[in-house]
Amino acid sequence: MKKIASLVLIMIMTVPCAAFVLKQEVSAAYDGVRLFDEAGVFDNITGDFTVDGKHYILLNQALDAYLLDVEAEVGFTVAVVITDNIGNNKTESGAERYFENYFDSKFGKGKDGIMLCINMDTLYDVITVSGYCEGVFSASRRDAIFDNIWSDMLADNFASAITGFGAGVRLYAELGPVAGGTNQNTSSISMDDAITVFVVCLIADIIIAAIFIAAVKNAYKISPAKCASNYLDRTSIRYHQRSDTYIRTYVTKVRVQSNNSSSGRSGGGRSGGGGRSGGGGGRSSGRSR
Amino acid sequence: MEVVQYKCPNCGADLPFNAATQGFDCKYCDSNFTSEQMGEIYPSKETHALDTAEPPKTAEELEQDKLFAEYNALYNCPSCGAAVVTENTTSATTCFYCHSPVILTGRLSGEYKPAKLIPFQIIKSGAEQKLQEYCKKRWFLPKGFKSGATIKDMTAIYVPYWISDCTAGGRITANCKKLRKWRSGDYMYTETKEYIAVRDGDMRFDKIPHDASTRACDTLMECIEPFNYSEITDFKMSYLSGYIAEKYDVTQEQVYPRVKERAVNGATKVLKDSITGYNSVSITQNTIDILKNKWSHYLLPVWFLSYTYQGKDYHFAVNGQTGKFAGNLPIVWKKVILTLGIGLAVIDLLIALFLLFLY
Repeated sequence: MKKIASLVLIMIMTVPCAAFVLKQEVSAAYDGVRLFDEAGVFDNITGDFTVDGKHYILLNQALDAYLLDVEAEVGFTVAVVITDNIGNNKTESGAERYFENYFDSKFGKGKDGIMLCINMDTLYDVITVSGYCEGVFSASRRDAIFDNIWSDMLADNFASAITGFGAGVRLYAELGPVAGGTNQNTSSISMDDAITVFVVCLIADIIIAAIFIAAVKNAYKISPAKCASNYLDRTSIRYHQRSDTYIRTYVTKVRVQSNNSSSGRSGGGRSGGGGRSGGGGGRSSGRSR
Repeated sequence: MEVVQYKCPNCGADLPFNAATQGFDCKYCDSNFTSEQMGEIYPSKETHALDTAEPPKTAEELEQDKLFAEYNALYNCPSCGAAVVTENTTSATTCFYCHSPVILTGRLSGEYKPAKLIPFQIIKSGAEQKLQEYCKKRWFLPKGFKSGATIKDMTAIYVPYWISDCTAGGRITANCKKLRKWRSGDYMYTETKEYIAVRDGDMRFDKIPHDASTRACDTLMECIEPFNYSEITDFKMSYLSGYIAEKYDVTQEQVYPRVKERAVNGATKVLKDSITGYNSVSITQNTIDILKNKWSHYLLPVWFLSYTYQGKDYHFAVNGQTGKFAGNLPIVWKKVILTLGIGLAVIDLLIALFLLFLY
């Protein structure tokens, strides 16, 4: 009995420790991993690969290093996943949702990042974006990236597609968020932000200062009585005539905006918000399985 | 110029009117007298004004006196014999040398004699308190404004007023509209019913005051209204003892336009307020005017204070009966700007944090 109790106690104590360790391992594992080759496309492909002056023998290591290099330059997570099994998520929206959750599970919800998802299962490839990248990589930009790598994708030349993906990420990261897009990059404040804040503050200051000065002047000056209401003997009021004569009635109308105007959704995936990872667009490829 | 003084019948000391007790208190022998008792003790002084009318002068004397008397008058203080010059509108004052209260009886005789008077109810400390209360929440006043030195300069003056009892009446015509709105589909409909309203009537205004002294600012005097006429009393010279009093130098014709404006505005407001039940009322015709008017001359109590700040004079008044304070206060703009600057800095910080957090 004592032994069973001791075992149970040890198990209870080790579970949170294991979880903590596992978490650390996972974190450690994902800290340097940006290529998730679950389909084994790059398994055992060797050669002499050079990335940023360093030599790699395994292609998947070289591609990982390349993606980390791009990430270091752009300031947000850049990853690629190649999978041949997305479970029951066979529809396009299902695939998009699958890869969204995949990104969240690897890097955390709301993490700024972009991931190329090469879908060997339903052949519906997706570029999923999260956080700050939702504002940068609009549907048209994601389409442009796909256009750039499509020939490589069709030819199953995934290594070249990944480098093309990296180049596209670099290009649009440098251009920054599209007009009207949200800037969720909290790591720095852009000049546009500063100018917006300055203008809003200036307008608010002018209005508040004008109101304050007018209120002070009004409180510090006298205002005489306009009429002699204080001296009116209300019992002495006599009316000789009190008449209200009806003249006419007319009706006017004004067109107002309807409340049921349709708002178009941006194509290519759901929009994210509130820090959640979200947003992505997919494309069906004509690749053969 | 003949002057009269009120002395204590017991000890002979000066006997000024005391606003706190509404009587005459001797500071030396602690004797107290009501105004009725003063009238019995000094019955002749009330009629002394008529007795002291100056004898006829020659044309030359009149011409010489004209220039001097245009702005000044000379009297001999009965207590110390000092010859003192006062302005020609002053009817009661204190001797500059011995500080005895004196009343210049000739000034308040005949047409200048007031019919009624409201005695001072607020003593100097009360007036000072009213000033302090008024200035309490005004943070941008100069530092020295609320100090004792400033307040010490408050002066109690009986200000001459023209009092108008008038009847105002006439007719107003107004365009009135009733609106009803509703929405149907993509349109907002507005139904407008137009009416013409006519109100014809008259009403009485009792005792509209207007100060009758060029030295008192009309706007300031209006701001310390109203006076409570239930406490009014017949004029007696003794009430002026210890205070400064002025005789009027503004005629009824000169004050009539402003009195008429106030009465007409009041009557217009009453008639317009009787037009009810409409969304908008716009007066198109107004023929209201004064129908009857009767003038009286009163002396009303006012505390005055002057303050000079950055070369500009500021004048204040306290109603000597109700304690209502009025006056344009000096503003220290440096304090205003400093406060505004700190406040705006805090607001700007909050706005910046909000915007950056939002985006």
